Amino acid sequence: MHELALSHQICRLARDRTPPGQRLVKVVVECGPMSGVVPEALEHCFPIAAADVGLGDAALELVRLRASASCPGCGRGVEVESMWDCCPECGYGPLTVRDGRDLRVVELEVEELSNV
Amino acid sequence: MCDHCGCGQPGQPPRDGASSVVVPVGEDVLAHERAHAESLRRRIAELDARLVNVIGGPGCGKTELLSALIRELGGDPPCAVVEGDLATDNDARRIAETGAPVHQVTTGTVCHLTAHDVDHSLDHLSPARGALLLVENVGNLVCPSVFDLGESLRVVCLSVTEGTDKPLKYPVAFREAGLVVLTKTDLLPHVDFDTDAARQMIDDLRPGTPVLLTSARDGVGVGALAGHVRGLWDG
Repeated sequence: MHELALSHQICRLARDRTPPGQRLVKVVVECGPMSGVVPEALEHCFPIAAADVGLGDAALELVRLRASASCPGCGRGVEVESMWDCCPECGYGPLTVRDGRDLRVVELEVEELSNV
Repeated sequence: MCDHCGCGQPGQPPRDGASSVVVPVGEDVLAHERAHAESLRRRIAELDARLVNVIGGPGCGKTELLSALIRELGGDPPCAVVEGDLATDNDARRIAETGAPVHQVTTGTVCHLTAHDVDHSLDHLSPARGALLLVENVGNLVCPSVFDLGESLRVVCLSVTEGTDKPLKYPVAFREAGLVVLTKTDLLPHVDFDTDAARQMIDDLRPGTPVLLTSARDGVGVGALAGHVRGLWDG
């Protein structure tokens, strides 16, 4: 349910960072597996929020990140796609996930208003 | 066309991209919430207080449990309470009957309390030095599980009327729990709840998680819960 509110935050940030005389074409957002965000829900909500904020048909490019984790079983450092992944080396779970909490606006793609 | 499910919704028209430029941003959208969680941790530490985030499904008995706990603690430590609900201040009224200061947050349609909500609730409550700040989250076992409130302890409540396999159905909540409290145990003779099986599921999700059996109605386990929260000041 919170993905719509997060979409509004992303869109307001993107609108505020779009240079004068430019039109926002695309927002690139990185999403970590521990962010609590459901990527599909964010993709669903984004066009609604973009319209609300006056961004028209600006697109969302969502980059799904992996998180780094350590295995309490064998001590290895591994990469995981979700908090439920077990150690690919020894099968131990749950792993200690160290990062992956980000929902980061990486960059905007903009174009001259006259090109629209 | 939608490239996820083929539902026919229009997608973006193709662009040549030749005239577009890239503007770097590099800003974390969740940074604001994390800053409030850190602010809470700092303010709680400065007061030598402790913050307990209480999560559980609607109607699992969180408010009754907190009322019983506050009465059991008897001011040692003093308690202050933040109540989260979509609507009404009914729970705040119930807590107020214990004499503890309480602040109700009504979230409208939002499914969880945020660190921003709780940080500003502290301004209303002005908890005493050494206080126990009890935060009763919105009744929901999904969304509150993934939001850090700067808590010292996260308690997940599960009533015996909800079914034995709830830990398996809502694994994120139980995996993040520092303490699981089984509530309404006075109803155990009337329901098919397998306490040992539930304990095993909880332990499989997070090995070593303590589990307390409580009944706010007859007082069972409330003393043990009081002992557990007093232990937050040890070490």
